[in-house]
Amino acid sequence: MQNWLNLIPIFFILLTSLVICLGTSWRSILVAMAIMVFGLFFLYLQIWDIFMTGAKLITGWMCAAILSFTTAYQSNVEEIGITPKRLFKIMALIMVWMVAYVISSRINDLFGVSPEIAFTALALIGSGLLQLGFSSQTFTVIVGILIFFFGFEILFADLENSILVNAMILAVDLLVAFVGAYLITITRQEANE
Amino acid sequence: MSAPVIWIVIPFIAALVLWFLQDKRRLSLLISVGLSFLLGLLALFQNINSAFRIGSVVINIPSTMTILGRNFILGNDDRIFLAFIFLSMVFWCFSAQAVGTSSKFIPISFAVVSFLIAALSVEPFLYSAIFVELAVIVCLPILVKRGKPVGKGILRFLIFQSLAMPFILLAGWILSGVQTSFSDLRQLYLAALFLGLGFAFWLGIFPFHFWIPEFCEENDFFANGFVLSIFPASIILIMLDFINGLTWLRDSAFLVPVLRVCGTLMIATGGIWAAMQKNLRRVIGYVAILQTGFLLVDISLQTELGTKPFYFSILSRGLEMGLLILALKILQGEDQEINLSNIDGKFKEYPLATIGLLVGMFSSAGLPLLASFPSRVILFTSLTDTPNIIYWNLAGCIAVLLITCSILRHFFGGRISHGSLQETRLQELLIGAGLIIILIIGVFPSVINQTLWSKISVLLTMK
Repeated sequence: MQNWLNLIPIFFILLTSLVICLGTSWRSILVAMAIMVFGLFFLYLQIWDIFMTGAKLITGWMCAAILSFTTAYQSNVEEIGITPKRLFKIMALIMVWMVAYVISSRINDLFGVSPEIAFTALALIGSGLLQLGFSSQTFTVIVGILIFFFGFEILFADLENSILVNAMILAVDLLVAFVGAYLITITRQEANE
Repeated sequence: MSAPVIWIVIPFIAALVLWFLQDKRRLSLLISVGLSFLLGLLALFQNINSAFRIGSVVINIPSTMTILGRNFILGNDDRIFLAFIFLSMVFWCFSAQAVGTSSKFIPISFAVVSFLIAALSVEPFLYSAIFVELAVIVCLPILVKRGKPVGKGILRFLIFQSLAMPFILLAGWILSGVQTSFSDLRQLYLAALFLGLGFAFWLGIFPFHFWIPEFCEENDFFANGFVLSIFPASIILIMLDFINGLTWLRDSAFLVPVLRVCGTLMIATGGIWAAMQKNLRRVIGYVAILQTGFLLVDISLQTELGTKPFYFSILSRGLEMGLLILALKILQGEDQEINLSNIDGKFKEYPLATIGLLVGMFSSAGLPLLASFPSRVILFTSLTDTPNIIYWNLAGCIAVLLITCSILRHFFGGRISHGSLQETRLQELLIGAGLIIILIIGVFPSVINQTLWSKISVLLTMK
């Protein structure tokens, strides 16, 4: 561990990925996503200058905001308590984190990325994949894709410092959120009316 | 005016203009068909890096456009792809009108084509991943219908296409680092692995192909068919371009067996699974898998002899997919489901659409006197050193033949329909044109071989 203070944002990122994976309600998922982006902001600060980092933060929050526009079309049913399904998700997520921890040193060897960033990236990629594997709803799939991208982006930010590539990736994030919001609203519009 | 401006920027601007002309469908159709035809012809007959003359006006067409230090390069070797994609757009625009699909289809299809050409032409290569992802995101609005839930197939399409982007970006980054020195074999193999995974996600290569039949089954089949027709052809050309650019990858010992095994698995599973389906939309999905498999096996030949069946396969695949999708969409009408059980006696109501569907299926199976037959003959004669690959490829083709015979039995048998002819003049014209082209390619392969291949080979060797 190069910087022990990194443990604080990493803890929040892992916690929020757990909240998203458990998927109690759309509100908690979006709030968790916004906190996750804020946690990532502190890790980005160690790689980039404040301007690019700020752009990442704002884009992440905008993605959450765009998805929140679809609130009228979301189900308000909240799952309460620890069900076997949730327990399984928690176990799966812990396994993903363990695998990410083991692989992060290899990623460090291969790409020269700092171990805490490699661990965070792999944990987010794994959480995103887990989310994609578990869910069949448009909203959760879009959130899963975004988390997968967030994980990849922090790894890639340490490797590639081209502003254009990173700006285009940010545009892709925003478009994914936009298209997700579009898919949710257009397919539910008639049912709600 | 550079080539990328003509074939990337103009279609993109056209997409924006056509978006605002959605209510005026006839005008929108005229503009889209006219522009596609013009761009297709220009790609066929106008050399890049030379002057284009209209009377006294001379326009130079350089191959490169630079934006923020990144180059978009469209050379003469890309012209055959450009001609193919824009001439097929003529068909897709007419077909969209013929089957009355969503008014968004034409503008969005132009934007998709523009992004895919940008992906093919951009350098450094890693930007292609982003452009393909943009094309995927842009095409989503035409895949869903208002008030209908988004199906698993469409979500899986989005997931798998999105998963490809990081792998291609990482591979591009590794390769940009090792281009000067190839001593680090570990990095090279890692790049090859990432590339393989990225292309496998994009193309739906075995075992990532299971979303394709589900995707075909959902919502607007016509738009889904467009995506299944345009995306794999474009991505396989991007892949070919990339393999050709990396000598170590082209000469590596693992490339040929990997392509051959993956392609054969797709052909065999695609064909055999197609034979077990009752839903015709799923059958078309499996046929698309089979066709992509054949393209991979074509690439694995890696000789001039292999290039020929590859380009013929791309052409015949485009024709067959177009014909199959149009015919099935006409047969489907307003119904969502089109099964073997509800097509009994449809021949009386839809004679040309049923013939179009059957010919498209028989051609996909590689039956003699149809479009795919010449390329399959070249392919199988080139694979004589690996008979197992031929046997499995033939098994896939025979399975497609079996399901086609079953469809044929249902079309002409069962309860006799007393309905009148349901096809419109435009539908008849499009299906008729498709049938004639497929028959001409199949019946006169040597003529096509000489005229088309002489043109393609000249373009491929031009710089």
